[in-house]
Amino acid sequence: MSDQPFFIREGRAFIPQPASQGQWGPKSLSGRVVVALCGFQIEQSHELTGYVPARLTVDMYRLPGFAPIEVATRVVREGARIKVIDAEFISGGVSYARASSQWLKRTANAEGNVWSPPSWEVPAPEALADTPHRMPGSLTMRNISGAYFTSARKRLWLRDDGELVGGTPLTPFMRVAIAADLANPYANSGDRGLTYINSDVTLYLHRLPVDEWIGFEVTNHHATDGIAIGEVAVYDRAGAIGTSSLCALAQGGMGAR
Amino acid sequence: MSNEAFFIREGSAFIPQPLCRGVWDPRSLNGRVVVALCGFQIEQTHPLAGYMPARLTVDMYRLPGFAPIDIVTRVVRDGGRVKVIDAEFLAGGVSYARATSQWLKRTENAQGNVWSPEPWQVPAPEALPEPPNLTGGALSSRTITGALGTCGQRRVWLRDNCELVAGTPLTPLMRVALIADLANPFSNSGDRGLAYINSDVTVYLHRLPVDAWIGLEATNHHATEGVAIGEALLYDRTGAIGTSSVCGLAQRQVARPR
Repeated sequence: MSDQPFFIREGRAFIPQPASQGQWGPKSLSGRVVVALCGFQIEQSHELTGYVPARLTVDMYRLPGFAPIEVATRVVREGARIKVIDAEFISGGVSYARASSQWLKRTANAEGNVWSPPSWEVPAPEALADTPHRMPGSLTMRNISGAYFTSARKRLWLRDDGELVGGTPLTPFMRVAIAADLANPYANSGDRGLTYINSDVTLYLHRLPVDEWIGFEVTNHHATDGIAIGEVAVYDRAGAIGTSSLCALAQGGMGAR
Repeated sequence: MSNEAFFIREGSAFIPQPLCRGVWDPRSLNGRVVVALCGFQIEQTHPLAGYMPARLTVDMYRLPGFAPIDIVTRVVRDGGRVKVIDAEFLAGGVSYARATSQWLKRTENAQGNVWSPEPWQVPAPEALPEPPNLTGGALSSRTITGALGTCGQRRVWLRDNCELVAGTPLTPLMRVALIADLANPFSNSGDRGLAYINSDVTVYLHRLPVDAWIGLEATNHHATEGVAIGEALLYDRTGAIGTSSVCGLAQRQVARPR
């Protein structure tokens, strides 16, 4: 298990490293790093102290390869309570993905009681064994319930020990962003493996994770006419932190990750 | 049932009608119509036959009033399988909201079995009592479980009875788009009413509804330091069609339960 970064920086460009390889072809990048690099550039380029990244949505409309990448950000709305910031993922002058994000001002909760789902009662990551996987990089998985390649409901802990960009330690937001795209293989795969390729990811967060471990519980999957939607509830060891949702297209025969 | 519409069209502009009034300020528009008008203009302006509106996200960063509105759309990606189309909601040259949408090519499902939630077992709208209508007939509702103003999980059927834009019958997408913003009061309100104003809406759909009734079941709410997220599953009478999610901010002012 090496802690190799997903990208190294050369000037303004990000150079994809072997850890960035995706599951849909050896020459293309994982959706994980597309989502995370967009979030990275937004978080690093703008003054966002006191704001929570309440939503990060990434449209992924082309499959990027290993050529150098530039991420350009744009402020759509600079409000006192709401900031909306976009990012575009560009390689060789071609746009591969586009992110939009909302950053909301931290204040205090409203008074009163609002219904919430029951709390998550699962073993801590330390109480579980590593689950073998074939993902490149330095991802640790600990399955809680529902094995891959079955049609059972899946729950697991994840942590990534590689830096997204060499030389920059992962922030709490980056730890969630690098996990968010994995909602697709967990929510949209079944007894034949993963046969839906996601074309977006939407991450909602009401707070950031307290440490490296990110918990997933699949909460939704439906498909009609080759169009699937899937969702996981996202946790840390202290409780629920958000959700990761996506839509996806039926894809002929993909196997294990 | 009234013949009112939410908007009438004058040239390229949409003129908000009294039905558009929101809950936060009588001079401002409801988030419902901001989401729906963005979706309307995308659906009406682009050839999208054979494509499913799999996601519609609307960032709502200013509260619009009753001035004429223009919606400008932009194709971000015109692919064979994936189309990405944005829309901007403008009044008096100022941007109030921005929508992004994904339209995915309809084909056929992949083989194999994937876990899905249990089917929704609720009474049909016709089997539930009609409550006193507070909206002048524009929106019909049938409560399944959980009343507004209480702290419990809510399930409801909703049906819009007015056109979004006068002269254009509601499409199935428009029916969902008009309901989507109501995920906020249904998931983020409690025993003190609604104290979170949502700043966005994200609708995911794997198919369109079969008729006018849309079911909502609140499935998520959490809030930390005044930042809330909420979600409702969306149904029609044949089953699950998608989800509507929101994030929002704690408001000092409490909105009247709808």
